[in-house]
Amino acid sequence: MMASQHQPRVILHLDMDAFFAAVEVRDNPDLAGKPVIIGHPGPRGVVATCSYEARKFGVRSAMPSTTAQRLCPDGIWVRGRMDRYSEVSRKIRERMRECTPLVEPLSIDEAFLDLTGIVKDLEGGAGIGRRLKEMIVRDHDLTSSVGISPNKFLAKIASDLEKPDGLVLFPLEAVKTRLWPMPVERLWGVGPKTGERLLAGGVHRIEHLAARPESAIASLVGMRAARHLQALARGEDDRPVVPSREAKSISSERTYETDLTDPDDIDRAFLARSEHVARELRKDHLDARTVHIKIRTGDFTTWTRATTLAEPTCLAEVIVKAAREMYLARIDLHGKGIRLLGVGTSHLAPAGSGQPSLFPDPLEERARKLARATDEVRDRMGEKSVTRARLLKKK
Amino acid sequence: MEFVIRKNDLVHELQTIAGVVEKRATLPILSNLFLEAKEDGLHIRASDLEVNIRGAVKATVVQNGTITLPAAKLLEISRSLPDAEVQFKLRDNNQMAISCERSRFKLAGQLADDFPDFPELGSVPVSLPGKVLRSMVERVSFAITMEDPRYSLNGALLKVESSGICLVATDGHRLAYCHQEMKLDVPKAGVQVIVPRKALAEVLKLSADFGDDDKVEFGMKGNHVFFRLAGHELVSTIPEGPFPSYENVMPEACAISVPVPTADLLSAVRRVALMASDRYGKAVRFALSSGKLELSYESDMGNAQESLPVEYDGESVEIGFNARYFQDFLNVVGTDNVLLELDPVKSGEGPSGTAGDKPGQLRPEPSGNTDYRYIVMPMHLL
Repeated sequence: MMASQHQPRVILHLDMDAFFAAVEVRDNPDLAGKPVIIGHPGPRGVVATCSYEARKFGVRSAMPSTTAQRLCPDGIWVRGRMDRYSEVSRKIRERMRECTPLVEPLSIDEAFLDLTGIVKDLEGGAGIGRRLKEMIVRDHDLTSSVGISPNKFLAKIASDLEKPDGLVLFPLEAVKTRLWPMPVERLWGVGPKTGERLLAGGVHRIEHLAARPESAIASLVGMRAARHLQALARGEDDRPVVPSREAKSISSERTYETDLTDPDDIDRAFLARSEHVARELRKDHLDARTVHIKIRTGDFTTWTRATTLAEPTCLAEVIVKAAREMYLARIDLHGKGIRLLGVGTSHLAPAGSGQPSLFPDPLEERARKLARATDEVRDRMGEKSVTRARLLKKK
Repeated sequence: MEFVIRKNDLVHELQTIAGVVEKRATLPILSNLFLEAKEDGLHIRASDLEVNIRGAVKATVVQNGTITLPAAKLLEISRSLPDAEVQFKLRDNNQMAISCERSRFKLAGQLADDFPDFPELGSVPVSLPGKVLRSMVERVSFAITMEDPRYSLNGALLKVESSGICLVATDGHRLAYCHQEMKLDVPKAGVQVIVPRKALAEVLKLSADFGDDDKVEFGMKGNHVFFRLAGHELVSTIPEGPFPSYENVMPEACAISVPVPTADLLSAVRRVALMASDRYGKAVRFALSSGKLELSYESDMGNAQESLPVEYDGESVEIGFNARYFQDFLNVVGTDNVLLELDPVKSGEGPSGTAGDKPGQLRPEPSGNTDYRYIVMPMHLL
């Protein structure tokens, strides 16, 4: 799309190396060189991420904690601190935006940058990549891996090639030598289902995809998927880098060790999640117009509900009210306990851009003042310095 | 049950009444209309449990009886029939046979026993001038909220006193107020009641052909309010209050009052709003300076600007307003000019040259015994 026909693009993909674990090791040097696993080791926990030392034992992200414990009995478990990670992530993103306004964050620890027109060629992109990596080491003592290529797909493949602390230039010419030997699962859009079908048709590696006629692939996965996959196999991908300054949604969820059944516990869980989301909104100077809830019961049935607020808000009081109402009026768990509970917000707009009310709600005014005061304390003394009495653990 | 009715009479009545029927009714029977054939004609009722309406229409009744029929389908069928006499005859199993010239329908009905009773309010009504009330409803009801969960805002406040009628509606961001001074025969304390949006919409519909002498009988009893007009009776439950204390937000006097041609302002707002995005709200920048009112909007897509010559020679003021709120009022005000009234921040009270958080006011130039005002909360200009 766009300039790709005329001028080769320069796309950079930056991926932080074992981000959460690296932040933990940096903040606690005793952990250096040890297998650090971020997550909760309980029977219901999952691995958020882990250090490279732990990966050597086969531990992976999203793995059930029990499996990780079996693979790596000496792993050091650390509870994730999302606030800390997002703070670092925010600062790194600011650095990226100094290079180009076209920054598309994919998640908390990776992003695409479109450097077309800013540098002459991929070599120039590598220069920026090197500088970014150096800055991140200098500012945060963290390493990252960078891939530079004419498109997003190859850039992401490239950043993964020499992890950790890698920097890989991936021109189109390298497709045959470096992309084709890879298994087809590496392609975007090849999940377990498609992968199975391709394997059944004898398509194991990307080169097989590129070599077969379109019709042969289409007979396995359908026309649309065949076209998409073969284009990727040729190293073609014309998706633009879409800068998104603000997150599209802010949410917070938690899995509980034992299912929540007590209405009072559930109510407190809603408050805790809402409080967290509201604080994130205020940090980003955003108001949200839509509130979502997500409930998963012990048998893995998942419920999601959403509602639109009359006024955009960044207040926990307003968010939790909407969340509770949805839960009470629109979900019937038939007595089952709650394994996971989440509260989220979307339709975000800059704070204060909404329409002020002719009749301000005095309760909301009070909540606003309270939020301002607690934010100030938390900024200075840390997130745990202030909490609602209602959220204190029962003795 | 059997009757014969003219197609046009039937369609007219169904269109008037079916507006009360909820599209997604909580009880299935509320999707139906209640029909009763009596000696004096066909009586039809609709209800959504809050708003109830009934009326009668001329029909030749062969056999008395009652039934309920699905409102939407009945209206659809009636509209499609040729312009002739329509015969209704109730068959077994609540099947209504409808025939008109060479068309035949059978429509499944439900027993009338399950239909909610019409609330009978035997209290003494006040007689209101129909056209005046209609014009007030037209000018005010657009400001009733569509989405605010506060139930009391889901209607307009109607005050009937011996000195006049007052109707107020607000969605929390803007407020429409209309007061008509006139002598009315009302008990001294007067009546004050919130009337739901849907009931007002029915009043508008029923008064469409009103002449100067037509009256609306109005009254309340318990938690119901009723209107009788054009041969129909409308009874509605009263939303739970309280209605916001609107008097507090109505500016007493504004420092700035500038006449602006209604049509010019409306088209300028419309054009500028084309660039507005929902994402950031539709805050159009209104900049008033010597001799001109400038409207502008900037978004990711680009920007738009309009300039209107006005008679103004005071200090420059800037303020943001939601474009849609302006359009809503300018569409119904019905006068050639409106006064744009602002009360800018005085030096020392806040950032000067802005109107701060004080609401702005639009109104027609005062005339006669009508006081019509529209108060809008400004938006922050980012």
